[in-house]
Amino acid sequence: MPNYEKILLKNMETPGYTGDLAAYERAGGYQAIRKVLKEYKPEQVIETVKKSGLRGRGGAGFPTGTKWGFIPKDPALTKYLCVNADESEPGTFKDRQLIDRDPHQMLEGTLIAAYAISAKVAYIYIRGEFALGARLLERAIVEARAKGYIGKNVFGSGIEIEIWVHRGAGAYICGEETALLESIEGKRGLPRAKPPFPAINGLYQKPTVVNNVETLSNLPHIIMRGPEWYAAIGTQKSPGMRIFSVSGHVKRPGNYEVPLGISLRELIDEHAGGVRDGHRIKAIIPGGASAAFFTPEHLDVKLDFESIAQAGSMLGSGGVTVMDETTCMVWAAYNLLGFFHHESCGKCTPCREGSAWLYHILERIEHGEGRPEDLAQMERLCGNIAGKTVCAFGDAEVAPILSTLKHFRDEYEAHIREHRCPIGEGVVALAAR
Amino acid sequence: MALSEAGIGRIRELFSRYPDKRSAMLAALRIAQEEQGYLTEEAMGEIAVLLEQTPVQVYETATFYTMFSLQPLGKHVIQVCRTLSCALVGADGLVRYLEQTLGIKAGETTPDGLFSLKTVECLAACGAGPMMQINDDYYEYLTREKIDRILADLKRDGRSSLATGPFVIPLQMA
Amino acid sequence: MTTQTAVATNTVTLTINGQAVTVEKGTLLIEAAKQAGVDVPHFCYHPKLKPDANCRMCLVEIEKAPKLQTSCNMPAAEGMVVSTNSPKVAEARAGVLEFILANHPLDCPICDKGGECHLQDEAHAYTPNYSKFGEPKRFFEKEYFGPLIDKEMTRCVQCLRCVRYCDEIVDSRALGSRDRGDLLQIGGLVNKELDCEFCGGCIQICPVGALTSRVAMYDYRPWQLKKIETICPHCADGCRLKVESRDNVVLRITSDAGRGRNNGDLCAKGYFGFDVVNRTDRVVKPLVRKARTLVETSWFETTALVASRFAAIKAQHGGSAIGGVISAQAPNEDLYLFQKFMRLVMGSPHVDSTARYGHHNTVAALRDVVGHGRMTASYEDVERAQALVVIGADLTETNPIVSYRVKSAVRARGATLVTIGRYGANHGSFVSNLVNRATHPLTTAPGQERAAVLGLIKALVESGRIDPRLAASSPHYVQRLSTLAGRLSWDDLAARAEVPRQAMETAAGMYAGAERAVILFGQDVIRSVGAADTIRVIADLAILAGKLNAPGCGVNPLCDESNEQGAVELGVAPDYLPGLALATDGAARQRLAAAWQDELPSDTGWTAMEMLEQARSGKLKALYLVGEDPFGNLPASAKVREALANLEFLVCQDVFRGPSAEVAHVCLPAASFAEKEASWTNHEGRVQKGKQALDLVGEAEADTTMFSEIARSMGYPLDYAGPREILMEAGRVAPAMTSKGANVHPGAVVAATLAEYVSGGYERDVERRFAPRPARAASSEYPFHLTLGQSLFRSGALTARSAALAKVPHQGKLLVHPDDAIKLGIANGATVRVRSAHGAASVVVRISPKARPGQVLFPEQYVEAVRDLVPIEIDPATRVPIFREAAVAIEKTAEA
Repeated sequence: MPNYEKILLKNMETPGYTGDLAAYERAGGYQAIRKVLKEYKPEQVIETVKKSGLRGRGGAGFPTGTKWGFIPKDPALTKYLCVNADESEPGTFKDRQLIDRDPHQMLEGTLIAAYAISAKVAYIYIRGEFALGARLLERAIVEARAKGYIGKNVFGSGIEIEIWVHRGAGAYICGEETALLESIEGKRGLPRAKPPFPAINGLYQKPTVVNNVETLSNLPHIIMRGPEWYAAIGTQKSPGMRIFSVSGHVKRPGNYEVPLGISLRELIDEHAGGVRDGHRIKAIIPGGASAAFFTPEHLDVKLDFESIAQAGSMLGSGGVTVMDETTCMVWAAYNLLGFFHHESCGKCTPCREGSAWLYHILERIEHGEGRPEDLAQMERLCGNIAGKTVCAFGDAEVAPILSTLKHFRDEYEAHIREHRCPIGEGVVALAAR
Repeated sequence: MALSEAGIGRIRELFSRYPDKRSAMLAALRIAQEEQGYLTEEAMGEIAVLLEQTPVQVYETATFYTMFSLQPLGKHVIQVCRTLSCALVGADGLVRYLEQTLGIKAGETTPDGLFSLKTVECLAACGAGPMMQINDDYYEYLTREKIDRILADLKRDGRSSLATGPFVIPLQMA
Repeated sequence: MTTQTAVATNTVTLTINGQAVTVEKGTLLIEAAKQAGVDVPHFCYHPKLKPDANCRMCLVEIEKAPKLQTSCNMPAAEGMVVSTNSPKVAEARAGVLEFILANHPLDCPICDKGGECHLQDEAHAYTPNYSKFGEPKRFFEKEYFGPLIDKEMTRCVQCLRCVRYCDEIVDSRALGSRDRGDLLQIGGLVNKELDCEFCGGCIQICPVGALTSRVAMYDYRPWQLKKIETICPHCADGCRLKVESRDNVVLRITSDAGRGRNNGDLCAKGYFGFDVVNRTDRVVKPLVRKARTLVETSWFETTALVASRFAAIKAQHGGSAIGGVISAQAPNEDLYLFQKFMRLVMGSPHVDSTARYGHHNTVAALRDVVGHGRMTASYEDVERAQALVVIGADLTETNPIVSYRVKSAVRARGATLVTIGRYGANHGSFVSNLVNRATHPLTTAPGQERAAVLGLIKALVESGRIDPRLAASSPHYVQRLSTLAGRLSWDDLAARAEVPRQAMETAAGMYAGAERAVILFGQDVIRSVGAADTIRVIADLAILAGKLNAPGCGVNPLCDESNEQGAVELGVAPDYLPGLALATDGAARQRLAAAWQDELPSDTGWTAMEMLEQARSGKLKALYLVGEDPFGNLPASAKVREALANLEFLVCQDVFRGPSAEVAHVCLPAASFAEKEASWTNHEGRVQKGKQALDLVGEAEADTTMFSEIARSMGYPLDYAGPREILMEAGRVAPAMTSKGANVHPGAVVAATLAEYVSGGYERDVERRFAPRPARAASSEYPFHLTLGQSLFRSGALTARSAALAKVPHQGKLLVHPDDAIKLGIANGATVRVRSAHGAASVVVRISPKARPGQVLFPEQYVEAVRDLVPIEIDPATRVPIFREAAVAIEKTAEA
């Protein structure tokens, strides 16, 4: 297995690392923020991060420094930083590990980001189900606050940065940045129509940046080792390391931190142990449930933003799900549409009505009641949803259908023709552990 | 009064964190649900007054989020993940097993009020599935045997040592 | 940078469907399209609401943009090239409609929205003829939503207009969404009946038939209705509404966005109170008392009788033995003709209106300051103000449309709102309460609003924030008032008002610091003892701060009845002549006599209260009552019945038979507000014309017709070709009644009057008004203070007869503070006995912190016995009777 020097997972893979503040500092933590406060003006932090080429690790991959640059510089405006710890994209579980095992790394990154955009308050929006993670974060914040690392006078610099944990209550859509803001404001988590954009009109109508947990966790390292070091890892347009969460029919599911640009094959075979014994790969989702399905033909696609997009899918959240030949593709699409149907916020017409309609069609097909016109109908409906919704959820929900129709149309046709699922229930036997 | 004095105090403490009292909404609902087991109209009305909203604003927020319930729930709320990665490794079968074992269908509560069973979407434990969340705790790498043990633990002690601690996967070598 | 090169344009030019159009910067694309004559189909967009962009129906194609964009939230930009009808757009539109129609029920035959439904119209225009949806339709169980508003969620298109309207415009926030995804539906609390302000706005704004009115449910199709606009009679806000009727029965009221002073918004009374007009117990034939019973009689006989009786009394006792009182809800034409009739035909100086109950205080106070009793700042000024001070008004109950403007100023534009009054906040209620929105609530002891205002003046003086221009131009005024303010003691003011000094100082600072600041004062001030003094002090505050006459500023009286302004300005009062001239003004009398070509009666006239007194004493022999029974409003101590019963001749001219009809000799059937072409003057001073929406009912006549007929029968014809001619004549003797154009605010300060005031007029009674009012005497026998206020759902005798309004929950209750409720041992819904020195009444309790500890609140027009609890005190200067407050004791009598 290729040996890459880990950045984010480094501490927690050291045996005996507890993740508390003392351990983090022993491992070199909280030096970066001290350096930033002493030597950098906020604009310089932004420039540094821009130079590093760091791109968001939540799903959209937007250049972080550029996002920070959109915040107006007027000192009279109150600004906010929000940490997106809502991790709910199916197949993704990296942020959970970062929060549980090395919360201070993320906190330090939060401090750096808040300083860069001159935000005095940062809210960590953590999904409600992460009860343990919220407790661990609160404990870490208490530790940091006690030492003056968070609060009115961080590290004695005279700068104020407060960090508060804000727990969600069960809604995938709250991972969408404007829905996240609505949820922090105490409302239903409905995404906002854009324009206006959060950088101008965000939390409580103030300029706001929302960054992912993994994105922020990179910042202390970029500061300490320099943006050029970071930019040299990975590819030119997709620099840095990235944690991929691999799950499904592989021998060793888990979180793997690798440089961007390695092949999908390497990730699956050499890190995650390859497909389980006696089976062959049938399909792979490379970037969370919102990403189009790949087939074994795509195993040599490089795992970076551009290459995957060119191959017809997206890097997304880095949630790689592997399915072997025991998996029915219609059933897989049906399962995912069940997810989207449940999580649709209901704000806009195409997604609200469309997610239900598509779900019902897939349900029929999977249970042997498909009709010949269903496939064309689904394609047409997907066309009426994608690009027409308030947020990217609409584009996400059509990805499983369109990609499975593209690569596995014969399976759909067999379901319709034979009035049954050819594979069986489409459900795999209990994994033996 | 539906909310306890302590609960009201905990809600009030949150006000200093936000410029708008409404931001304490989710936390207030969670506190109310913790105290009474589910969200009552009375509690929602009290939250409304505290947060300077109308009861409808509290109610509409509560119905949006999966973790809030306006119906009484069992002491242990079993939430089994049914999304793809867990389904690929047998989640559907486990749901059926739980339904058989508990004698209820998903969405229902056992007559003795001990267990409620629900299917939920991805809980970010995809590599450790099939898995379930019971109240605040995650239980991962499930098998039928494990499920039997967990249910027995909960019935007997109200808690189970099989709950997952701070998360790491792949499992570290000791 | 020179001014030549830095040309600031605030317009942009773009191309829509090939057509160039120039619009103001910031204009949304959908609005720019409208200006270019292009209608973009939409559901969730509404010009009154913040864009939500959820229906996706308004998607348009913008050149160079990768995706279609919703035109409702995209501002037009210079050089944009937009297509609203390209094939891509057509496809997207059809797609959205297909999604909506998929789950939409085929309810058109039973849906009251049929014929005026957005979905019908857009489906007709933009979709193919058949559906491709082949799944089971999603279905919502029907839930009973209450007796007035019906909810059918299977029809809902989830545009959230209703929720947003209830939030952004009304601030009631009684509607919300429930659940999410395709299970999203709208409702109130859980599955309960709706509890809200019942303004009907959600019904009006729903683009489909998801929310409909249960009044006249299933009874009509919109194309069957005759739709005619008039002005609402129920309060002084002056809303324009459309009476929609079929076969002369009113089936509903609507109000169009962009129309009228209310911009299409209404309140419960305007929206649901119309059933009053349809009632079958109206007086529709003349009634004459024959052998002790009122008997239907012909017009011929009745007119002759009335004329001969009045003439006989006039001949025997003189015109001064006859009096006339008309409701201030009457339109200008009725008011003008009535006072002319009384003065010339009856030869009587005794003519008054129900404006006597309060508005006369405002006029007495402000006539010599601003020249009239109108609002000096328009509704637009109120909405654009940066600071608002609302004194002594339960504004959301008394003047809902003005309150929408205030709430919008605070919520949408971040204005400061200072409330000075006896009401507390009551968060969690579905009926909006201005104190809930106040940024600086000053909760005062009842009756001590003046102390708080004096505190604001004192703070203004001490912080050096007096208008420098005023200080320069009117130094004596400034010095005098500064000295008086200096003599006031902070401790005393704070103790009286029960407001801390700092709060008053902060409020004064917020007011002084705002460029556009408006003060509004309401009935708690207007109908108080010494009101004219308090109102003058309010004016002094504004003048000192430089915010009476400055652009965007003003002082606004909040009037009660729909035409109190007209009543006084048209001289329906013993102390005024038309044109607001004093009745004692010799030159004015001469001018009027010349215009009327006859002498005016020379005796001093009596007010309504004095007429009652004189009726009791026997000096007043005859009385002509027009409009609502004004004496239904007075407490028992006024001994109304005794007075009326003593008259030789009593004529009641009204739509219904009120309590006075029991002792009337003649009842004349009057047309309702909807059955006459007429004009009303709202408290802005805007004269607004309404058309006749309904034919006359039975043998009822317009009031002006009856005045003319009786006049002719008495040998003194007062004939006019129609209401327009009456108004024109009124305009000649009262020029302020004539319209000055839509964009000119009719209540603007009269500069010459203000100049006179600050140069000397201010001195009159200045020491008296700069003294705070005496504190309430504490009483152990009657420990609570009762204030009679007004309910949003009932503003007078007319709305009290509305069966629809009677169905609104929670009205007519005694508001008691939670702490007091605990001490008294009463729960919500309990019955209590309220006792004062004048009587006792039985009422039901509603616990609410809106009533402060030691105070209780009860709305007028609900329980007669409560009205009888209050004493009457007559203001010696303005002769206004005050009967609004009492010291009471409260005892529990029964559980809920």
